[in-house]
Amino acid sequence: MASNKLKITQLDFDNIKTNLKNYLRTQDEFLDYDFEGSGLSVLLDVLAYNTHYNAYYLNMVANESFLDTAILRDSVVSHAKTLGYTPFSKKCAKAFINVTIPVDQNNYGQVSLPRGFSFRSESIDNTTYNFSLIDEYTATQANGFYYFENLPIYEGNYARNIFIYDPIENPKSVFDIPDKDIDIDTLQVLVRDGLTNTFTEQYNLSSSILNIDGDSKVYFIQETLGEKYQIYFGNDIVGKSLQPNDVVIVSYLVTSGSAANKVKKFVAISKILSFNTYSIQTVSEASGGANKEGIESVRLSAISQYTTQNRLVNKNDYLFYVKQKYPVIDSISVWGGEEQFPKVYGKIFVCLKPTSGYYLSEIEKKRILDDIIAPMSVVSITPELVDPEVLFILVSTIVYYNRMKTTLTGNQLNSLVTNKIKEYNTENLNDFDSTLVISRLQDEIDDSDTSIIGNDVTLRLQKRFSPILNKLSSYTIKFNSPLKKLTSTSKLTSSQFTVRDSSYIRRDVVFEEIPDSETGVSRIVITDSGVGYTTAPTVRIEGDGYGATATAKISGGRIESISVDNRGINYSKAVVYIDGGGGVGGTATAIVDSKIGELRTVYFDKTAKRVVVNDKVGIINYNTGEITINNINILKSLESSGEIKITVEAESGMISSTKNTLLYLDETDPSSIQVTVRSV
Amino acid sequence: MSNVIIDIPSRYIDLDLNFNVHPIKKDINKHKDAKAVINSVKNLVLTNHYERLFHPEIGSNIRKMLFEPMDNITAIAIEREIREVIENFEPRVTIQTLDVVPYYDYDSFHVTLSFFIINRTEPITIKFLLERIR
Repeated sequence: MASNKLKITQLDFDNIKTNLKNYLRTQDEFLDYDFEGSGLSVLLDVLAYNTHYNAYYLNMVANESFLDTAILRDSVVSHAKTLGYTPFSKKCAKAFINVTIPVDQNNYGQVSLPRGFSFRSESIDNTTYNFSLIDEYTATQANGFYYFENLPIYEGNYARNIFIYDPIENPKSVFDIPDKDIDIDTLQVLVRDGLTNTFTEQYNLSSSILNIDGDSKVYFIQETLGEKYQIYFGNDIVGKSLQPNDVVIVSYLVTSGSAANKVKKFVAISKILSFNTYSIQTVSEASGGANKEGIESVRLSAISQYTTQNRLVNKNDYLFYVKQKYPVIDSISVWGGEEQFPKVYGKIFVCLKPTSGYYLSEIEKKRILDDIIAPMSVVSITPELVDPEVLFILVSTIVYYNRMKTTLTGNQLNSLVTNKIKEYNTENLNDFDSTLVISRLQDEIDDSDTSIIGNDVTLRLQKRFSPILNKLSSYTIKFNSPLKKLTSTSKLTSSQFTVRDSSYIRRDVVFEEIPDSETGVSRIVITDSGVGYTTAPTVRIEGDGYGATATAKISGGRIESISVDNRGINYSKAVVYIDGGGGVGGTATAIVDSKIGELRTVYFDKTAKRVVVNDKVGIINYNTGEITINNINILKSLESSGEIKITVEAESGMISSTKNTLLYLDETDPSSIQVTVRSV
Repeated sequence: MSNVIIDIPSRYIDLDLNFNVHPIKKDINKHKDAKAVINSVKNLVLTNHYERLFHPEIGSNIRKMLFEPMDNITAIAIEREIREVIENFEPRVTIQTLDVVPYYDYDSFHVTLSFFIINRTEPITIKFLLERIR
C-alpha cells in the first residue's frame, strides 16, 4: 500500500525493502522498484541491507548490555564483575603422595622440594599429566630416610611470567596473564623492588576490600577478553601500589581441569635433588579437577552471589556458596541442627556428594570447613561436614510384552527398559532430597514401548560398609526404610567375608536371617489391671514357641504395665498368665508380631551343606531398617572394594531420602538393574 | 491541421546504474520503457546466485557455465539459465526466441534474444556476447 510515511519499526531485510517500495509508490520519478532486475531494485537492496545491518548491530549492543540477555562470555563476565563476582577458573586436580628417600653417605642437611617441582602421572586415555608442587616443602629425616608426607601435588604445568611496571605505559598497573587455562587458586604474585634488588615480597589475592588498607600487599584479579585473566594492584588507598620499575613475577599452573581426575600413580620427572632412588606412595588419588565456569552458570552465580553477599547465613547461602567455591560436587544438602534428631542447636550440617566416589577425604573436608565455610559463616553457628549415607537401590523387573505388537527382539526390549530405568535414575535419584516411588518407575517402564503389557518391580536396598579388619567390632547399619521379612522368595543377602570359626579356622561366610526368628512376642497389652496387688505378680508366657519372658509393674495395687524382657522365638500364638503378687483379676494378651529378626553367619561346605559359624551375630529391626552386628572380627572382605554389601528387599513402595541420605542406583554394578522380558 | 503531441507517460522508469549524469539537467540519467526493460534483463542475466543480499534465488548461473567445455550442451544449459531467470524475475517480458550459439574462435557464446514487452506489438531483439574475461 502506497504511503508517504516510511515505516521504520520493522527491522528485517524484506520488511525494510517492502516499506521502501511502499514509500516509492507515492512518486512517479522512478517506477521500476518492483522488478528484481531493475537498477532501482539493486539500490533498494543496498539501502535495506544497510538499515538491517544497523538494526541488528543495535539490537546486539542492547542485548549485550544486560546480564539477562548477553550472549558473549566477555559481556556476561563484565556484568558479573559489576556485581562483584569473579567466575571460577579451571581447577587443578589435586592428589596427595608420600615420598620416601633413603639417606646416602653425603650429608645434605635440610632437604626440600621447590614450588614448581613436577611429577608425571600414569596415562589416562593415552595422556599423561604433570603434577606440580605449589609451595616449597621440607623433608623430615628419621631412621635413615627423608620423608615428605602428605605432599599435595596439583595437576598442571608450572608457568611463570615477569612484568616490569612502567607507570607511563600502564597507568592502571594491570597485567595480562597470557595463558587462559590457568587455575587462579595456584597463582603466586611476587613483587621485587627494582631490577637489581633480590628481595621479593609476596602479594596475596584480595577477596574483600573491607579489611585492606593502603599498605596491604594485595592484588586483584578479573577475567578479561578471550577468557584470560588480568591482575591489577592498588592505589595506596585500597591496596599498596607499585613503584616504577617494580618487577612483578607471576607464577601459576596451566591445567587440564577435570581430565586428570582419578589419576593414581606418579613418578618424579627429574631426579629429586641428587637422589636416584626414592619411592612414591599415593595417599589419595587426584580429585577436584574442574573446568572453567560456563556462561549460564556465571549468569546465575553472579546474582546468587550478590544475594548471598559473601555471608553464610541461611540454607540457600550454603547451597550456593559451597557449590561455587568447591564445584566438584554432584549434590549438596544442608540442614540446621534444629532439624536433627535429637536436636543440636547452634550447628549447621553440610553434606556433600563429590563428583567421583561417595565420600570426601578427611583432608578435603577439613580444607572445605577451614578455608571455604568458616571464614564466611556466622559467629556462634558451628558448621559441620557429614558424610553422605548412601543407600544403594537395586531394581529387578519382569516385563511382560505382546510379541505381536512389536518388531523388537527380547534383547532390544530389554535394553530399552534398562535405559528407561537409567533415565529415571538420572532424573529422580542420585541426589539428596530425592524420592523413589515404585509405581512411577513402573509407569516409566510401561511407557518404554507400546508392546509392554505390564511389569513387576522388586526393589532391593543395599548398604555397603567398610569393616574394621582384624579387630572385634560392632556395626550399626541404617537403611532408614522398612525392610521385608524373610520369605521363601525374599531374603537378606550379603557379600562374602572372612572370619574365624570356633576352631579358629578361616571361613568365607555371609550374613543371613535365622528362619522364623522374627515371630516373637513384641508386647503385652493389659486387658484388666486387677486389684489388690502388693508386689509385682509373675508373668508367664505359654505358647508354641519358647523363651519369652516379661515383667509386670504395679502401681496402687493395680498392674500398670508389662514389659517384654525377651521376646522368644518361633511363636505363632501365645497366652499370658499372671500369678501371685497378692492380687486378683489381672489379665493380659500377648501380641505376636515382633518385627525384629536375628542374623547369623554361615558358609556352605564342600557338600553344599549350610554350616553356621555364629548363630547370634546380630539383629535386624524390620520396621526401622536398622541392622546391628555385635562383636565380630572380620579378617577380610572378598569384595574388590574391601566393602561388605548387605542387600534386603524394601517393604515399602516409596523410598525417600532426607538430610544426608543419598539414593543411588549404581549403574556400574551389573546387579543393580536386572530386567527379564517375557512374551505373553 | 496542427500536430497534436500526445504525451504518453512512460510506463517504466529506472535509474541508470552507471550513474551517468544528464548533460543539461545535471541529474542522474533515467532509462525509460524498452531501455529500462532491456537493462533489467541484462542485470538479471549477469547476476549470480547469492549475489543479491538475502535473496540467493535471484540470478543465473551463467558465469560458471562459461567455464564449462565449449559445446552445444553448454550452450543449451546457458539458454535454459537465461530463460529461467527471465521467466522467474522479469514479468514484463515474454520470450519469443532465444538462441545461444558457441563461438569457438572467440571462446564465447553468441546470444540472440528476442522478446515482447507487455502491451507492445513489436518484438525487441537484443544480441550480446557472453565471454569469460579471465
